[in-house]
Amino acid sequence: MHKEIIENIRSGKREALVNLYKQYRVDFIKWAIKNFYCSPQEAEDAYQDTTIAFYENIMKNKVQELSCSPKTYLFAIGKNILLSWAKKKSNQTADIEHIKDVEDDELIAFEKIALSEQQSNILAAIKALGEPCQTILKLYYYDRLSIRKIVEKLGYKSENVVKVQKNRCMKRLKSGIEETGLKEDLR
Amino acid sequence: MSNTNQLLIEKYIEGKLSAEEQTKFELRLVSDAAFAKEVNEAKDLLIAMHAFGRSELKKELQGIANAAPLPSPVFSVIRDEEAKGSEGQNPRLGRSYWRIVSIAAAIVLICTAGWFFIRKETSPETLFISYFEPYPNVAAPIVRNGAVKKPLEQALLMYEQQNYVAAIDQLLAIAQKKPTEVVSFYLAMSYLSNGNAPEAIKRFEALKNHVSASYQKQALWYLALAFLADKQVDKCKSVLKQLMKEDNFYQKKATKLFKQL
Repeated sequence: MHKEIIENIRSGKREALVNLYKQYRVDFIKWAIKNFYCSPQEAEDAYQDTTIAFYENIMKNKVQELSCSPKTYLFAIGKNILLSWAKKKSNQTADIEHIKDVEDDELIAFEKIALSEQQSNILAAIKALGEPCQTILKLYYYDRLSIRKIVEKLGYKSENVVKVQKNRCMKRLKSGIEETGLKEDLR
Repeated sequence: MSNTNQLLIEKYIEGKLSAEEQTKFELRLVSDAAFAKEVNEAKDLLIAMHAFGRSELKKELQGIANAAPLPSPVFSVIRDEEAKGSEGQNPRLGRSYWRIVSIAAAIVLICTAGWFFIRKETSPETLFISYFEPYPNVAAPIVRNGAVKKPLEQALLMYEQQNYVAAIDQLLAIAQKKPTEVVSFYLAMSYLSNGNAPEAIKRFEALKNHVSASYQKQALWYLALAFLADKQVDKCKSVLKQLMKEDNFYQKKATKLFKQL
């Protein structure tokens, strides 16, 4: 059962992740509010980040097989996120109800991405790409789906078509980045 | 950037090179300035892609959250006053010092303002949150086989997915044609889960007097909780008393909650 959820998520079935997210949302938010004294909005935000970290770790193959239930793992990540959130707020000490922790620190880490100027330019260029490039590049680089999976998901004819399309997208992206770079220089 | 380089760089960034490839790669990195530049560009690209993917996923999750609001207003109240404890701790002072100070502060607080704490512990909102669980969907177990679903199944699927607004609409439509006990019960449940306690109270009260009474105990328990959410503590207590009188599934919970009120 657990294995199946992880497998489904890894193979790119978005509804597996979405169902998991919905399933524990209210529990998580209640738990966060009670133990970390955060507002519902803050709890909601933390839960979204938690789900993202959960997802990224699975997609990065950091998580091969869960020794605990997805719920336990989810809450372990959430605890980590909420603890660092509480530390930032600093004048609060949270008393956290005991949950079985996931041993490996790396498995519960979630780092906010701080973009350099150049990286922000690239991000702007990605956003300007439009479809199908955005989706293809996202599925390949963020969701880390194989070309074969992308073919299945988007209904392309063959792996070759996707490969060609992806290379085209990369070219367009690069010229897009150069353009934004030039605009920056002219300012 | 050539394709082979690109793949190599992606592998390097993800730490997927073999030890031999890794050494080769790093040697090239220090000796070949053009290559080093390429690697840096690729890194920037991957980081930006990652940020993009993440922000898209976040948007998607936010969308789902917005479509299924939390059972408000009960969620918005709890404990933030409690969080305003000690101010601006100085990290340079030892932990033990602060422990002593906090214990002392706690004792002072308990002695001087004990009543205040007691009152807060039992605030209806907090109690509601710790006792409330949406009643599970036992009326129409969802079978995920893609078959066309009956209206009630559809409604309860939405209920299970915490999409209470849609569930209420659907259940209201069904109730117009066939106001069965099941429909009325899950309708009341949806209202309560969606934060509309007064409407839920009305419907649970009707249900507890229903002829067949198969949802009587459930209706009583959730009626008590609805009163709690609506801050009508006395009415909540009197409903709980009914539940405590006889042997039933909710007797223990009801007794416990009653004591905390």
